[in-house]
Amino acid sequence: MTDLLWLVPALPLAGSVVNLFFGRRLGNPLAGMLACGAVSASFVIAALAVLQYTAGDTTHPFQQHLFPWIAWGTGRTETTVAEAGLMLDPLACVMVLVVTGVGSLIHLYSLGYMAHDESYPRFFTYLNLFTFSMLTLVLANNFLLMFVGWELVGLCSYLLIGFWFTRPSAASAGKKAFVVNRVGDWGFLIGLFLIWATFGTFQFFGENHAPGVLDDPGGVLKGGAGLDLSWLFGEGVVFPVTLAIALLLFVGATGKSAQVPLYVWLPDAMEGPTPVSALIHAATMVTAGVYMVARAHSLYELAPEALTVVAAIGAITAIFAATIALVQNDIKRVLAYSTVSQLGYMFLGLGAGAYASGIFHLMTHAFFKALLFLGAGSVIHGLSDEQDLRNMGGLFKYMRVTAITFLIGWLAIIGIPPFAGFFSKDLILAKTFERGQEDPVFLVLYLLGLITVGLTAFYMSRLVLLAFFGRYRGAEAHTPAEAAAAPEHEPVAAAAAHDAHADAHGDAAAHAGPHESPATMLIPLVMLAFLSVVGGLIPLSGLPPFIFGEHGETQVEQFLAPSLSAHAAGAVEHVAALDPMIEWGLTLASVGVAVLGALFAAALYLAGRPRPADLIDTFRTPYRWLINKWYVDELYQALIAHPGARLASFLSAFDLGVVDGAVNGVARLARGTGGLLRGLQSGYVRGYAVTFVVGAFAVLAYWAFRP
Amino acid sequence: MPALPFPLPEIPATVPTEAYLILSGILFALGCTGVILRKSALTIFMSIELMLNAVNLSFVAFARQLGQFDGQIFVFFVMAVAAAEVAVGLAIIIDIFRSRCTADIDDVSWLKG
Repeated sequence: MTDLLWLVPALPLAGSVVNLFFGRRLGNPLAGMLACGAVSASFVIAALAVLQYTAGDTTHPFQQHLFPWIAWGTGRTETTVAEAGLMLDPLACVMVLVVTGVGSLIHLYSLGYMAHDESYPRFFTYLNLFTFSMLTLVLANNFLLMFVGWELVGLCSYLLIGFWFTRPSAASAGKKAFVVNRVGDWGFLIGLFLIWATFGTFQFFGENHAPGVLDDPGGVLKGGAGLDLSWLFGEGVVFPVTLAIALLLFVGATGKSAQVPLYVWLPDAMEGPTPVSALIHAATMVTAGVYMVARAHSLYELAPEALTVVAAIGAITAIFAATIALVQNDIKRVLAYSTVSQLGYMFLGLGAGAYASGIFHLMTHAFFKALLFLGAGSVIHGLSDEQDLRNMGGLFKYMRVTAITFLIGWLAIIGIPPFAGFFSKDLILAKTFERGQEDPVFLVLYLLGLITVGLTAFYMSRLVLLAFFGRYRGAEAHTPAEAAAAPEHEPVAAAAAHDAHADAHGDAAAHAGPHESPATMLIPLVMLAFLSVVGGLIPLSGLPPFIFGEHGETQVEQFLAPSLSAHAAGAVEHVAALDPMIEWGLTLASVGVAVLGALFAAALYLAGRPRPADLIDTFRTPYRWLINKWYVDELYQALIAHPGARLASFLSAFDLGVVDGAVNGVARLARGTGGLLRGLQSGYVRGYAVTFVVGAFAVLAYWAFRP
Repeated sequence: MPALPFPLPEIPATVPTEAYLILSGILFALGCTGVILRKSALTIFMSIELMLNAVNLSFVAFARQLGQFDGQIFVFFVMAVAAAEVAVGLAIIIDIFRSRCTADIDDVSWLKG
C-alpha cells in the first residue's frame, strides 16, 4: 500500500476539482458525500500504508519520487534543485493519520452542520482542497514542496475564514489572517533562500535525507559562516547562519501556528464555519509550524539559542493566551485562545529539545480540540447561532451526547489522567523541567507552563459550567404571542424543525429552544471523544511510571526516534532522564494545579462563592485589560496598520497627482501640438503643390537676394 | 558617307545657352502651372514630367557649355527615376480610379488631418 501513497493527497484534490466544476449539479448532499468519501478513502489508504511501513524497518523513510520539479542543465549535467516527491517516516505517519483521520470525521460532521447552507458545494470544494494542501505539506520530502503546501493551506484558511464573505467581519477576518500569515511566510521564505545558499539543497536535514549536509567538515557552520557583525560589536563577532535560518523558519512557524507576536489572526478566524475552526484552526493547519520546526530539528540542534527562543515564545504564548481566555464570553473565542495556548505548549516541548513530546501533544490536541470545537459547533447549532456563554447554561439536559463528549474533551484538555491531554502535556512539562537541570531559563519556562495548566483548567471549567450547567439563560422557546404574530411558525412546524435540525445559519425563529444535533454531527463527536480518552494511551508502554518506557524514553519517543533524534554532529546532548520520584512529583504538581483551577471555577460558577461579579469589581483594571485582550489589536492598529494606511494614502495621492499627472501632461502636450498643426494637412494635393512652389521660390529668393 | 545632292543650309555654329535656359524656364513654368491648376491626376502627372524634362534640358545645356559630362549623366539618372516614378504613380492613380471611380485630385482628400 505504500506505493499508493500518492493517492493520499490525490484523492482529496480530485474531490475538490470535481466539486469545483460539478458541485452545483451534484447538489446537496451528493457534493458533501463525495468530499467525505474522498477524504475517508484517503484515510484508509494512509492507514494501510502506515501499517505496512511501520511493520518494516522504520529507520529509513519510504520515498516516493513523483517527478523532477525544478531542474537546471540538460543531459548529464542536469541537476535537480527540487523534486515533487512524497515521504513516509514516523513523523509523517503521525501527521498523515491525524490529518486524514480528524479530517474525515470533520467532513462527516460538516454534512450535518452545513446541510442548509446555500454554498454547500463551495464549502466542500475548499475543505477538500485544504485536506490536499495539508497532506502535501506533511508528506513532502523537501522544504520547497513543503512550502507549497504551506502556502496552499494558508490560501484555504483565507477562503474558509471568509466563507460567509457577505458578512463584513468574516471578510476582514480572512484578510487579517492572510496578511498576518504573510509576515510569517516572509520569514520562512528568507529561511529557504538561506538554506539553499548555505547547503545547496532543499532536502530535509538529517542522515535519512541529506546525509552529511550538516556534518560541517570544514567547520564552516561552527566556525563562522554567517553575517559579519564586526563593524557593530567588535572584531570576530559573527551571527551564525544556522541560527539565522533557525530563527527565520521559526518566524514562519509563529505566523502559521499563531504564536506571540503573530497570534492575532487566530481568534478572529473563528468567523469561519465551526467545522473549519475545528479542522484548520485547531487540529491541523495551525500545527504546521510545530511540524516544520520538528522537521528541521537537526538544524535547531546546531543553534541551541534558537531552541531557547522557541521554548520561550512557546511558554509566553501559552500563558498569555490563557490569561485572555479567562474572561472571554464567546464560546469559540475561548477555544481559539485555548488553541493558541496549547500550541505554545507544543513549542515549549520542541524548544526543550523534546520534539517527540511536542508532536505527541500535537496529536492529542488534535483529538480533544477538534472534539471541543465540534461540540461547541453542536451547541451553537442547537441554540440557533448563539455563541455567547452568558446566554447558555443548563444545556446538559437538552443535549446529552454533546454534553458528555464535551466533558470528555474538557477532562482531556485540563490534563486529568488518563485522558489524552494529561500524558502529552505532562511529558512536555517533564521534559522542560529536565532541560531546566542544565539551563535555569527552562525552569522559569516550566513554571509558566505549570501556571498555564491552572489557567487552562479554570477557563475550560468556566466554559463547561457556563454552557452546560446551571440554569438556561437564553431566550425561551416561542411564547404564544410570538407564535400568533408569526403564523408560519406554528408550534407543530417548530417541533418538526427541531427534528429536521433546520439550519444553524438560517431562520433562527424556526427553532424551539435548545435541541440536540443530528446523528452526522454526533457520530464524529463520539469518535473524537473515544480518541480523547485513549489517544494518550496509544503510545504507552507499561506502568508505572506510566509515561516512561525503557531507557527513560516513552514509546512515543521511541516510535518517532528515526525522524526526530538523528542528531547532527556537534548537536546538543541532553542529560539522562530524571529520577522517577521527581517525575511522579511533577505529575502530581500539574494534576494538582489543574484540579485547583477547576475547583476555583466551580466555586465561582457553580457555588457562586465568591460571585464572579464581585471579583470583577475588585479587580477592575486587570479585568479590563483581559477582556480587551491586553489591547494587542489596538497596539498593532496604532503601530502598524494606521501608519501603513497613512503611507498608503500618501502614496496614492502621489500616484494620482505626480505620476499620473506627468503621464497625462505629456499626452496633453502632444495633443495640443497636433491640434495646432493639423490645419496644415488639408488633404488637397494641389494645396500641397502650391506650398512646394511657394517654398521653392522663397528659397530661391533667399539665395538670390540675400545680403 | 556619300555626298549630298544639295548643300546643307548654313546654321549658326552654336545656339547660345541662354536660349536653352529660357526654353527650359518656360517649360518648367508651364509644368508648374499645370501641377497647380489642373484637377486631373493624369494631367498633373504629365505636368510633372514636363518639369523634369525642363530641368533635364537645362542640365544638358550647361553640360555643353562647360564641356563636362556630369550634367548629361545626371540627366540619365533623372530619366531613370522619372520612369520608376511613372510606374509607381500610374499604379497608384489606377488603383484610386478603380476604388473611387475618379481621377480628380480634389476628390481624393481622405488624408485631411
